Amino acid sequence: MPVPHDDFAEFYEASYHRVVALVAAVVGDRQQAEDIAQEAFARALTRWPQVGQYDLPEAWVRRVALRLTVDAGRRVRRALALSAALTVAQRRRGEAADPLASTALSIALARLPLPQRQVIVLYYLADLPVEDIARDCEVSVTTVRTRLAAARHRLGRELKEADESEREVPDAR
Amino acid sequence: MLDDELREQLADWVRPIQHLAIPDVAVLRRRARRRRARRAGAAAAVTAVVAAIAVAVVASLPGSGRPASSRPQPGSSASWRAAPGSWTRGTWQPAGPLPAAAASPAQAPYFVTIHGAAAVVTDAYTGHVTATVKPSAAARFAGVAAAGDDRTFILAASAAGTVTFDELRLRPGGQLASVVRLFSVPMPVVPAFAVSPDASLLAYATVTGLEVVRLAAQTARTWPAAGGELSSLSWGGDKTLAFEWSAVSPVATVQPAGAGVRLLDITATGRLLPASRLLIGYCPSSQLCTGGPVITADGATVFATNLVLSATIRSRVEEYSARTGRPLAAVTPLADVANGGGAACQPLWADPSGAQLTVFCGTTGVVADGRFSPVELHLPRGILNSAGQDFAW
Repeated sequence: MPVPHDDFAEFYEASYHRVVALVAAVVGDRQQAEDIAQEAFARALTRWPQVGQYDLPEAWVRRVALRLTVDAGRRVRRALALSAALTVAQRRRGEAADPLASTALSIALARLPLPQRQVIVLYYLADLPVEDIARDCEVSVTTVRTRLAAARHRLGRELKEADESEREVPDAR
Repeated sequence: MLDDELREQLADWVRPIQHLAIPDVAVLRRRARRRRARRAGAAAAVTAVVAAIAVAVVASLPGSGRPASSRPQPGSSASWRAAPGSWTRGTWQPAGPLPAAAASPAQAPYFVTIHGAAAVVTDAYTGHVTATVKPSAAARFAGVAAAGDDRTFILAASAAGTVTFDELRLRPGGQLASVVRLFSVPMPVVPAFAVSPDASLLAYATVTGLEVVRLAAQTARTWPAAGGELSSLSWGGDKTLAFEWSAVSPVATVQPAGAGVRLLDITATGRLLPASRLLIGYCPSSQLCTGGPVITADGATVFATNLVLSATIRSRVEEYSARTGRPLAAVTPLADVANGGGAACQPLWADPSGAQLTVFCGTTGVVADGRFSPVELHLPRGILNSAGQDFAW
């Protein structure tokens, strides 16, 4: 769907949820994702006369947001580890966990190194071709393909292990 | 896993985000204004740092008058250099006397938490807030570390790409005595830091390794490190630093070489890993991981958290010999992490010999003579599982 980007407010409303969702999938935390997305949009706002002229201003915002996830990575490290551990425990106790942290997929994603998480999310959630992902992540297309393959392999293994572990403890708590 | 399945699961996972309220554009405008202000501040800070470096370089030239404070102290290694950053001269004070060996934890009742925009001093036994400190304008507190006297704390605040370290001192009754600026360094965040029991040394992690600063002399030494992350720094006296070395990724299945609880003798030089020794391996088996060390002020004992991974995730605090790394005793029972509100069992405070300590393990308690007894301590809810370094005792 073409996005009218001559007006910032319109562009912002049309793309906000997409950017937050993408960042949330990368960092595994909704509030952190909103914070990062808002910072990226705020930067777009200050440069809007220029960014608004781009073919895809959302790609610019996305790129800034991805860079911010790298900065934020260290701070969320402990929270992610805890969230993953806690989620496992909660699931086994049958409690409702944070919807963004309650799946085997989110735990497996959190185990991936950040660069692999980024490419998986851009490829499967944002549905971007590898050429665009390479631009967003500022790496070569070959690197994107390598990271995708490694991440797919690791995700598959993690999800299989999670599945087997669930079956091993069907009545736990 | 099939590509379509992965696509579908990811979309399902983030679907609730579509229902989030979109903040008004005015929020972004305010944010952009704050950012401009921060950048202006950063430019000023860079100018100040460049000026400070220039002064230090000129002062160190042969024939130049060298400030007395940067002169190597008797018996110290000559490899200490002028500490980076912008310093406030003459503000540092040593900590008060440490509690006696085997002192009761009740003699050290005060802890500091970063709560919202403020640093809050609380008496753990009564729950009374005895002091509150706000950061300077445009800054926010990034963490807190405790010296050994229970009256001296170091607060880190960040603003505009600069981290500032202040020394907070308390009166005997826990009321605020003073907050003085020590120094500031240009870096966006401080991942971890610790102050020695006598408050003479400050260690802080950077993105490229470890920095230890002698606060009185304003000199520093660096140990470069790469491929992992430093956390849970803890001083054993003024010679030994315990720390956790682990993967940057939160729950990585592959840990970097030498991951675990390590000890650094700060007279050793070179890169961090060769200069330090591995005391306790990070995850010696797929069922057990150890981290979060607290070393006693006499440098003889390390308390650390064991995570026991099985159908549930349980944890306990274990005591180790700092000389051999041998486990000496489990000082708490095993507790389900989920029952502790998501926080693992962890040591909170130890007397200089490690004979008595306060711990959290599902509930708070005191360990004396190797025996754990529950004691109600007034810790803010959730403080022990927050990201970052928001709690110090």
